[in-house]
Parts: sequence; structure tokens; C-alpha cells
Amino acid sequence: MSTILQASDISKVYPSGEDTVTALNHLSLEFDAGRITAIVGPSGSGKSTLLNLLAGFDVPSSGSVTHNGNSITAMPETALASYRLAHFGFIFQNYNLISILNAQENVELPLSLANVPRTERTKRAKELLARVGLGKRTTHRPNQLSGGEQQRVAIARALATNPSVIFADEPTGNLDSATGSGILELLTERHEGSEARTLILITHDMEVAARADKIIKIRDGRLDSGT
Amino acid sequence: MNFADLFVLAQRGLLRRPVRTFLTVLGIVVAVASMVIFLSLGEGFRRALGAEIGNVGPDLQVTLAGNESSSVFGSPIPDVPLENAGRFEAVAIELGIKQVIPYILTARGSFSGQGYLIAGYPFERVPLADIYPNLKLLEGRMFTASDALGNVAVVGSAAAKSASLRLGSVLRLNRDVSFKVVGILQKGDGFTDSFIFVPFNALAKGIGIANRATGIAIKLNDAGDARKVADALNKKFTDLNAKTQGDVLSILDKAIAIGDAFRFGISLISLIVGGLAVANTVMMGVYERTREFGVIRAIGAKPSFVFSLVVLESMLLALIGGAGGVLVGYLGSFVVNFAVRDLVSVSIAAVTPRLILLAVGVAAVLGLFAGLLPARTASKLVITQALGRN
Repeated sequence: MSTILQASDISKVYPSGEDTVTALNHLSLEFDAGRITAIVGPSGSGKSTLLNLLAGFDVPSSGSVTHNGNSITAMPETALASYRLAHFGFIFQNYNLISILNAQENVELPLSLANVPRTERTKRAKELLARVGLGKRTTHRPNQLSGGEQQRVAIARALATNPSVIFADEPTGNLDSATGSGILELLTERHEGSEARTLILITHDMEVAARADKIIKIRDGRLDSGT
Repeated sequence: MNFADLFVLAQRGLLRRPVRTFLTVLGIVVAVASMVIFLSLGEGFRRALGAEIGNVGPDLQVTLAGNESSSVFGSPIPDVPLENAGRFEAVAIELGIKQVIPYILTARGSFSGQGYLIAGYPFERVPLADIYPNLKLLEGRMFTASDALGNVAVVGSAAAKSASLRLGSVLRLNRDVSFKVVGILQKGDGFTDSFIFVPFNALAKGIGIANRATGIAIKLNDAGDARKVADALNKKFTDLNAKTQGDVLSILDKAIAIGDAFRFGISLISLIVGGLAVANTVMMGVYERTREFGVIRAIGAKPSFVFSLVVLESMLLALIGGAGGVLVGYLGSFVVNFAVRDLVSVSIAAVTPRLILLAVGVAAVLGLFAGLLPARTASKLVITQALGRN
């Protein structure tokens, strides 16, 4: 199994008044292509900071993150934005759909940013929404959808550009257990398909983490243990 | 992302808060409309005066040197000695002068509804049609050679209306002097509609002026020599100032340009207020959508995309307001013209293509500048912080 994403000795230190807070402390991790990796840990352990660095939302204070051998840490902001668009997909705890766009338009958004022709992206968005069970709700705005439905749209959006890595930050955190279970089914079902897509799942719920191929535990910004 | 998609996003962004957007657009509409109406006055004057000067006929106008600022037609009080006509006639053959025509212009009333100008020309030797070729008789007759000292008048249509004159009416100049209306002119499209034409000598006598004129009009054998002859006259007669039609137009244009600058200055205040309203609306939109901008950036939008989106929203606001402002200004200019047309007989407000371009251009620049700060703020958002915002 090849390594698709690698964090090498990364640290993140934030200023806090006259002091500093170390959110991540010399962490080195590898993520295998096509596998689900769950990152677990209590609140404040550094999970979200880790995701921000792995996804290129933020830069580490030291160390580097590489994706398929490309250092995303060293990329300028504009190049990094294009890189995220092409290679990464994101699912957030709060769904983070764009409120002024309907479900289909939300799924089309990354394709539109990638300058995919209208007919092609419309077809792709409809396919993806059908795959997540929302084929008949394509014209609904986020405020007309339930939490579970919104997260399904977010999953479709994350899959739109066919990224090699999907980051999911507490994807079931705002959902009831039944709905959350459905969302996890959807995420893992996608993963079990023929496409070798890597899923990096941030959660504090061990039941959710249990579905992963690999669990990374972090505590106080350090690696606790891995399975 | 192509422009059409960006446009849809910007439009949806503005429609999130329709009332706020409407009120902001309304502010721009008022600002641009006031600018259009203010500046349309200059455009109307420029067009009317340009046409009027072109219709006047004389190739040169001569007034006393040193009083150019009083009026392009001459001093309000006739001050040009008539013997100057003789000085010009003496060099007529040498300089190619065809006719020397002294004139008196005297205003009565004001532009308050009762105003008109009494113009005295030596009609016994120069027909009215030679001086103002575009004037057409509606009823009655023109001047004849026997009218040299006759107290008769040919009246422009607007002057007839404002002075309540009809064919056969009597116009009282003062207690002792009055003129009988022998002709009424057809309605034209210039200031001459507000003119009452009378014989020069009769008017001079009536207002107690002897051997003086407001100015002296000169017709040349070849109008193309106007500049050359004006220079020659100014060199020969240093106490006088000969102006070509071009000189007159340029003096008028300068005066109107000063007026334009003044009116634009007034409009600028409302434009700045409108621009600040746009900046405020767009900035509020940016703050409200911080999280959404963070999401868009997270999934792969470049900072320049967010910048363009916000600037486009700002420019859309300003351009819609600008278009509305031009429309309202256009209607406003109609109202202005309707209100004063009977008073001054010309359309003083004109919304010309260049004014429309200026208004739209100003609105676009306004939108651009108003959007720069919010756009910069939005494009510089830190993704992790933006995603954390509720």
C-alpha cells in the first residue's frame, strides 16, 4: 500500500498573549492510499489543527506535509488553492453548504471553479446527488434540507472533482445516531468502490472510528498510539 | 470559473438581503440622477447656444476691448460708439467685409416667465432673414425699408407668449415709446424665440441711447477668412475686440465648463455618500458571509476569485443604480425642460450620449472603488478562522 499523504515532523505553535501554545508537537504521520484513517482524540488534542495542516488550510510552524511527493507546505497560496481543488475533498461537521445555492449548484461549485463545462458539471452533479439519495431534491436550498440531507449534499460536493483524498471533520457530529450511521455508510460505501480514494476522518467518537482501517490517536498534540 | 457563473454568484449574493440591496441601489439612483440632471443643464445650454451662435449669421462680433467677460454679445449697456461702423466700412474692401451691422440688445424682465430680449437691428438696410436665416414668419409681415424709424416689432413665439403680444398688439417700452407688432415668428428651437425685433434707430431713441450700440456684427465676403479678419481688426483697432463665432463658442463653452465643474462638485457629494453606502452594504455582506467565503476558499477558490466576486457585487450595485439614475435623470430633464420651456424657449436640459457614458462611467468607478476594501478583506480571510465563524 503506497503512502499518499505524509506529515513529517510537523509542529504548530500559536501565540497566546506573551506566551505560546503548542497545538501539535513534532508529529510524523503517513496515510495510505485508498484506506480510511480515523484521527481520534479528546477535545483540544489537536485533531482539527492536524486536519488544517494536512489539508493545506494552514501552514505548520515547522515540518512539512507532502501529497504524492508534492510539498503542499511550500506551495504559494494560489497554487495551493488549485491543488486543493484538484486533489482534496472536504466534509465539515456543520455541512458548510453555500446558502444562496441549491443542492445541485453546491455540488457544481468545485467543478465550476475548475472550469468544467456547464453540461458536464450538471450531469456530474445530478449523478452524485442521485448516488447519495437526493436525486429528487436537486433544486432545494440548504435551508430546505434536513441536517442529514445537507451532509449528503456536502459528500456529493466533496466527491465532485473526484479527489484522491477526502477530509471529513466530525461528519456525524451534528446528526442523530441513525442519520449519522447512514452518512457513515455512504462514506465507507464510497470508499469500498473501485476508486482508490483515501478518507481521513476526524472524530472523537470511537464507534465512528471503528469503521476505519487505521486509527490514529493524538493527545496534547502528540501521537498517542496507532492501530 | 467563467464570468457568467461569477455573475450568478454575485447576483445571488446581493439578493440575499433584497431590502438592503434595494435601498443601496436607490441611494445610487438618487446620486446619479442628481448628477445627470445637474450636468444635463450644461449639455442643454451648450447645445442650444452652439446652435444659436451657428444661426446668428454674422461672421464677427465686435465689442469694446476689455469687457469680454460681461457678455459674449457685449455689455448690458450699449457702449460701442457707432462711428466704429464707419471705421470698419473704411477697411471693408481691404479686408473683405461685406456688411457692418450695429445692434442693440436689451433685456426686459428675467427668465421668470415674463422675460424677453429686444433686439434692434438696422432692418432698413439688412433684412432680418439675412441676420437670422432660420427665422420664419408665422403671421403678419417682416420689416420693410420704410420701417427705419417706425415703431414696429416682429416678435418671436416665446416672447409673444411671455409678453402677451398678438398681431396688432402694442408693446410698451416705456411711458413714451411703444412698438406695434406687425409680425409674429414661427416657433423655433433657439433663444431667438424670446427675441422681439425692432428697428435699431427706433430702439436707440426709445431707450435714450445716441450713437451707441451693444456691438457690431460683421459679415464677410468669405466666412473662411473670419479668423484672419478678426486678427487684422484687433491689430488695427486696439480699443475694440473682434470675435469670431469660434471665439464666442469657446467663451461660452468655458463658461459652461465652469458651471459643469461646479454642478459636478455638488453632485460629487451625493456620489460619495452613495459610494459609501455601497461600500457599507458590500462590507456587511462580506462579514455576514465570512464562513461561506472560507468554505469557497477551502474547496479550492483562489483569493483572486473571492476578490473578483466582491468587486463584481459592488459594481453590480453601482451599475444598476447608475442605470436607474440615468433613467430618472432623463425623466428629470424632461420635467426641467417642461417647466422652463415656455420661459426660455429652449431645452436647457439635455441628456446627451456623452453624459450617459459619463454617468455610467462614474457609477462603475464608484462601484469599483467602493468594492476594493471589502474585496481585499474577503480575499485575505484566513481559511481556518473563517471556517470557525458562525
